[in-house]
Order: sequence, then C-alpha cells, then structure tokens
Amino acid sequence: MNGLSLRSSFRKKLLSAFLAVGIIPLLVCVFLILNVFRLTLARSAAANAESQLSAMTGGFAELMTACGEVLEDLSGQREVGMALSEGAERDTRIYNALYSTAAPLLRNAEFSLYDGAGELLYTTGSGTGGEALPVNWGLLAAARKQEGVVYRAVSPYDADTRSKMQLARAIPGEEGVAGYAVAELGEAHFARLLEGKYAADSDVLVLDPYWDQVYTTPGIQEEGLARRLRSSLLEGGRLSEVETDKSYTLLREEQSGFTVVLRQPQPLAEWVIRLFYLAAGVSLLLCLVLCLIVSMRFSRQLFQPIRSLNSAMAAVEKGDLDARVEVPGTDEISQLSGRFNRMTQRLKTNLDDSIRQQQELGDAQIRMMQAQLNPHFLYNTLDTLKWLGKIHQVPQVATISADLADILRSSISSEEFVGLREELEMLERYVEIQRIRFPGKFEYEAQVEQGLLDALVPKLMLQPLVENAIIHGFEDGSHGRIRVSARCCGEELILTVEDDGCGMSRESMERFLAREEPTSRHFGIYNVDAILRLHYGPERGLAFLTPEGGKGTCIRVILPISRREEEEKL
Amino acid sequence: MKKRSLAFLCTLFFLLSSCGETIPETGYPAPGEEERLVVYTSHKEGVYGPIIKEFEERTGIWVEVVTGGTNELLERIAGERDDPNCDVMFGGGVESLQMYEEQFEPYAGSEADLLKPGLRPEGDRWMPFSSLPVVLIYNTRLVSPGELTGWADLLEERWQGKIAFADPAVSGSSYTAAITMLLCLEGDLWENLARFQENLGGNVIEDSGDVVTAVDTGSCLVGVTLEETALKRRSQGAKIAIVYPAEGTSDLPDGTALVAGARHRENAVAFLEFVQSADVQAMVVSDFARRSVRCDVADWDTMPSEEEIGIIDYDVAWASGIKEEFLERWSVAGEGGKP
Repeated sequence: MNGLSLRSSFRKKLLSAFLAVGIIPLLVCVFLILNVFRLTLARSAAANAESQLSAMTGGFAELMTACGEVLEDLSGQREVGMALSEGAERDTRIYNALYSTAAPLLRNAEFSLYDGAGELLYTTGSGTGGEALPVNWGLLAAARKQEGVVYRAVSPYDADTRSKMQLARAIPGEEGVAGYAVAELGEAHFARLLEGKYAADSDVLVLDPYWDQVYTTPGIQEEGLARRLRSSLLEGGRLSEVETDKSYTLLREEQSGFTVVLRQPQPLAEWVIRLFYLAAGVSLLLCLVLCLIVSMRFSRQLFQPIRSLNSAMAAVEKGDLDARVEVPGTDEISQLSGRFNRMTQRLKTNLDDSIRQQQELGDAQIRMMQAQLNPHFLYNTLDTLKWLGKIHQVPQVATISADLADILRSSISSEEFVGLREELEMLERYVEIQRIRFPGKFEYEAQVEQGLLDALVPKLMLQPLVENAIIHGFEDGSHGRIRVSARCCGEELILTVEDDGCGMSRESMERFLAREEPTSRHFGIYNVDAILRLHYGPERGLAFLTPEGGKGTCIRVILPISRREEEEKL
Repeated sequence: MKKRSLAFLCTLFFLLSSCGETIPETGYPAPGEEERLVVYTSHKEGVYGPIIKEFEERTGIWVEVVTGGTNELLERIAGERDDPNCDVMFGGGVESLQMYEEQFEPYAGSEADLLKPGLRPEGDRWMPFSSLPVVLIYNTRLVSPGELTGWADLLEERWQGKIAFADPAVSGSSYTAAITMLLCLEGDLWENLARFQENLGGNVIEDSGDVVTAVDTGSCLVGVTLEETALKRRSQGAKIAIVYPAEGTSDLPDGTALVAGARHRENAVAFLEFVQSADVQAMVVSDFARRSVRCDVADWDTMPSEEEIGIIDYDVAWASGIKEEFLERWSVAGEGGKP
C-alpha cells in the first residue's frame, strides 16, 4: 500500500518531468521551424514578386511614356492638324509623318489619326478607314475635355475592336479640335511587353484604374477574376482570400493609373504544411512513448532499493534487529543502505550489553537473599547451643555459638554499609570460630590507622576474603598468618587482606580476571568483587598484588572514604 | 511558478504566430466612402456596363453593381430601409417603381424641363431613363404586311392560339401591354379581356424575352412586345416586322430612382444627372435601340415619332390600382379557357 503510493507518485513526477523536458522544446522547435520556413518562403516570394512586378510596371510605364511622347509629337505637327481639319484625301505625307514619328514603337503599339468627327483616317494598324469612334463618349470625349494624353481600357462591350487599351491626345486645329492621335495596345502588344518578365508559374493581370480587366496572360483561364478581385477590394477583404492557393501582389503605374497584378501560387502549398504537421505529430508521439519508457525504467531503478530499505526499516520498527539490506552498488541509495546496516548492528550490540548487565545484577541479589535465608531460626538455635555449652561445661561450643549468633545478627540487619569498626568486630568473631575449628593453624592480625574505624564499608566484605585465605591459603595443612590492614591515602581508604599461604592457582586467577562464572571454589571473592563493582563502578573491583616475601595472596580494595554522618547527609 | 511558465509559453506562441503572418499586399488602399456608389440594377449588362464604366471614368467614383430582377431588388431596398445599402435603383418599369415610391427620395434632375412631355412623374420619385412603346410584331414569312394593323385584330378568330403574349402575372411589361390594349379597344374593359384571353387559347409565354423567339420561329404568328426588344432582335436577324397599333399605344418609360437615406447621396445624384444627360441619352438611342426621354436627343430616323404613333394617356396610378382585380380575372379566365 505504502509502496504503491510511493511508486505511483514517483512515476507521476518523473513522467511529467520527462514529458515537460521532452515535449515542450520539441513543440517550440516545430513551431519555430514552421514559421521560420514560412516566413523565409514568404519573404523570398515577396521579394521575387516585387522584382517581377517592378520590371513589368517599369516596362509598362516606359511604354506609356514613349507612346505619350509620340502622341504629343503628332499633335504638335502642324501639317497633321491641317490635314485632319481639312478631312482631305489620304495623304502619303501624313502617313510618312505618322510612321516616322511612331517608328521606334511600331512593334509595341498601333498609332492612328482620327478627324474631329471621330472618323479614322490614318493608321499604322490593319484598319482600312471607315471605322469611327464616338466623340462625345469614351476615349475621344475624354481626350477633348482634357489637356494631354488620356488612358482608357477598351470597353469589353465594344465587340468590334481587338485592342485592349487606348491612349488619345486631341490635336488642336484652328477652331477647337482638329482631330485625335490615338495609340492602341492589343493582346499581342501586351504579351510582347510582359514576355519573360514573370515566372512560369505566375500569371499577370492588367487592371484599369477602376479595376476592370484590361489584359490577362493565358494562364488565367477563369472568367471574372478581375471582378472578384475588385469586389474583394471594395469589401475591404484580402486579395489572397479570393483564391486560397494563390497570392496576389500588385503595383500601380502612376501615369496611366493602371495596375499590374501578379498572381503567384502560395509559397507553402497546403500539402507541404499538412506533411509537416504529420511529421511533427509522429515525432511528438515518438517522444511521448520514449518519455514513458524512460521514466518507468528510471522510477523502477530508483524505487527498488528504496522499497527494500523501507521494508527493512519496518522490520526494525517491529523489533527485528537482524534485518539487513542488500547493498548493490556505490550510489547514494547504496550508501544509505550500508549506513542503515551498520546502525542496526550497533543497536543490537548495545541492547545485548544492557541485557547481560541486568542479568548479572539479578544473580548477585539472588545469592545475597539466599544467604539471608531464615536467619532468626538459626540465631535462636545458636543461642540454645550457647547455653547448652555453658550448662555442659563445653566453653568452645558456647563461644562458637555466641560468635555465630553475632555474625548472623549482623547479616540479618538490612543495612548495606557498616562502619569499619563493626566490620572488623564481625571479622574477629569469624576468626574466633575458625581458631576453634583449626587450632594453631593461623595467626590473625588487624592493623587499622586511627580515624578510619568509623569509615563505611560494604557489609561482610572482609569476611569472604579472610575465609578465602583460611580455607584455600592453608588447605595444604601449612601454618601461616593473616593480616588485615586499613590505611588512608588521601581521600581513599585502602584495605588489604594478605596471607602467606599457598596462594591462588594460576588457573583460578585467570578465570577470576576474565570475570568468568565462578566455580564452587572462590565463590566468596567473586561475590565481593561483584558487590564492589556494582557499588563503586567497574574499576573498583578486587586487585591482586604480589604479597611480601612472594608467598601467599594479597588482595587490595580501594574505596572512597565516606562516614556515617556523610552518608546520612547524603 | 507554473502559471508564469505558461504565460511565457503563451507569449512565445503569440510572438511566433505573429511573425508568421504573410507579408502585406503592396498596392494602394481601397477607395474611401466618398468615392463610392452602390447601384442596384435590373438592366442587362450590355446596358448598364458601358454607362457605369463611363461614369467611373468621368467622375472617379467606384461603382458597386448589384444585379437582379426588378421586384427582387425593390423588395431588397424595402428590406434595407433602416440601413440602406443601395444608393440608386437603376432600371425597372415605372409601374414597379411607383409601387415602392416611399423607398425613394424625390429628385427631378437639373434638366427636367428638357424631358419629353408626359414623362416627368408627379412627385419626382423617379427619373425616366428611356421610353418603351408597346408594339405588335409578326413573322414576315408567315404573315403578309397589312394583315396586322392594330389591337382589334388580336381579338379576331384567325389568330386564335397563334398570339405570343407573356404572362402579365409574371412580367410587368406584359401587364402594361395588356392594360394598353384594353385602354385602346372600344367596349367594356373586362369583356375585351375575356375575349382576348379566349383568343390566346391558353397559350401564354412565361418569359417576356421569349415572345420574339416564339414569333421568329413561327410557333406563333403575331406577338406583343416592347419596341426596344423588337428592334434589337430584328437587327440581330429575327424574321419579324413591327406594327405600331392604329389605335395608338403607351410609351411607359423605365426609370432611375434615388434611394431615401442613401449613404452616398452626393454620388447618387451625380449618377442620376449622368444617366439623364444628353451623352447617355444619345447612347441609349444609338447603342440600345431605345427612345430617348429628352427632347434634344434625336431618335432614329426610322422610328415613327410619338405623334405618329399616337401615344395614349396611361395613368400609372390607376393601372396599379386595378392590377389585383385584373390578375384575379386573368387567372379565373385562364383556368376556364384551358380545356
């Protein structure tokens, strides 16, 4: 349960992080590339269109200027004006004048001369005469009213003319207008003018000042394109909306007011954009899958050691200090695992130590209590024995009984510490009993510095030591002396129990120093050692010194001096 | 933190998408409102095209043309009453314009005194554009000259089922023709209508444009149409001859009207003046085979003058008033007449 939520949250975080890192830059890149691509293409197409258009418009403007100059020239020629106003027979002189004036442009336009009534008299084109133009309508009306050259698209409603555009200039006569000089541009002239100036995939429209169609290149098949462009302009829409796959660029020729429109295919075709989006979509999908896989693998790798660490901790929490974690490598998680292992190891050692100490203390207390078993009954019995000894004249029995009773009385008391005086008294009693048991076997002597008699010592501390000397020191039947001394050294009381017996065996000594479990022998000194260490700390146990003369045993105890008053005060 | 990064992304997105815009089209901007005019016209392109082109060239005003049938356009103008899109209604018989007169602003034109007598309307809600006499036609191969002379002949039995006549319920000009005939004939109005319809024999042509075709192809012998249509088709080679009825005929004009509350009123007035100017009226005669509405513009020499034709007094308001009753009788008689 815990593991699951840990796992899922890890996954989620990793996944979202991976997705963010993987997809956002990709998206931005796709977007940037597409737009840079589009912008570059659009720019280059625009520049391209710009140069084509300016070439075409420049050519157109040049032609307009040149035609205008020819018309001006014609209108300024006196004989032309005279001939037109007279309306005379066709005159080769006038033809010569017309052809020589128009000479440089004969392939670019047709030039004609009309009389004041609009009758065609001279032309460089195929007209035979007899054609006429209205003088109060359209081109000639405008030329009459206006000074200079007028430019007109030829109305599509005039079915009888092949020309697309006309330029006219009134020729002044003696009275008003003598006639008109007219230049005409037909389909072929426009084709010639625009030839090679636009790209193969582009088309050109020429529109008049009110955006009616004048000329289109053969590529534009559809009828009414100019009309649609015009209504798009009037509605304020974009010209590119007229056809979605085409873009329009236009430039106005200022002299005539005519507009040249270049139609190009859109620089970035629809299918290219679709393909691009498809590619982007596929790579996005790929990125998504990759992110998913990598994040799952990562989370698994990271999660596995954490889970085992987690379960090991749970085991420790329940009390199993033997729980250990496998340390797979050297990364941070592995270091953590190793540290955990060492920590549980240390914890276990500490716990074991403390349990052992507890047990030792308990054992000592049990032994003490066993020693106190039913002392009153024993005391009363001993009292009886004393009196029986007195009655039956056996003084030794009386003495032993009295001494034993005193020792017992002292043991019964609940005090743990007694004065050195009482302790020595008790020792005296014990020695007295042992003297009766082993007459002449040993000599006992106590040397106590003045002022130390009321120092406090643990109760019955000296007796086991002396007993050890009597029982084990002289067990080979030899004769010896036992000396108990107490002296003061600074704030410490130094007690020494010394005998000149056979001494402790090496084996016993080693066992004792290793603080191993006592056997039946030397039971007493083990107890004393344990009591001392419990009361005063582990360093205050029994110390074995080399006795004077190298024979026997010398046990030394060093205690801090304390007295009854201090004890009470404390 | 997340919000900030989101905002950052959005900004980036907008920056990028804005730089992705296509480059602006070079050229010059669309003309301003003061250079525009919206014209609704029911004329054919051959009529309005050259006139509007010349108007643009002369004035520098851009004209937006909306084409359609007369009634359709008039209804549209009525529908746009609160925010008129149209400035000028160009074309449409004066009877139709009369019915929508409240949509138009009175404007007489500066040269109204040069109009032919009887053409200037009361109230000046519209201006006449060209006058259109109703004439009779016959097939020159199947009918000999002199056989058809006037309206009374149409009631004769020999033409029964052979008269090309457009449905007056559909065609405004046909209704005018029917009323003209009834006005010219002697006797009771409705009796003559019944007799005429009997003589049609249930043969009614849906489209007024097909009348000439029916006579030309010989499926009908005689027909009733407008002089302009007949002249134009004759010049295109139709085998028809024109007869101006002996009893006289009407010459109701079609008109041009200024829409009330027009957005480009100044330009609209310029257009009205232009279409009634001598230049345009001369063109109406020379190019469209119509009769001018001006005294100072000569019609074709071949056309008989109004005096020779004998123009009757045609009360437009009265004719509009009886239209409902006429159509009722027409439909009843039409059903009865069919076998």
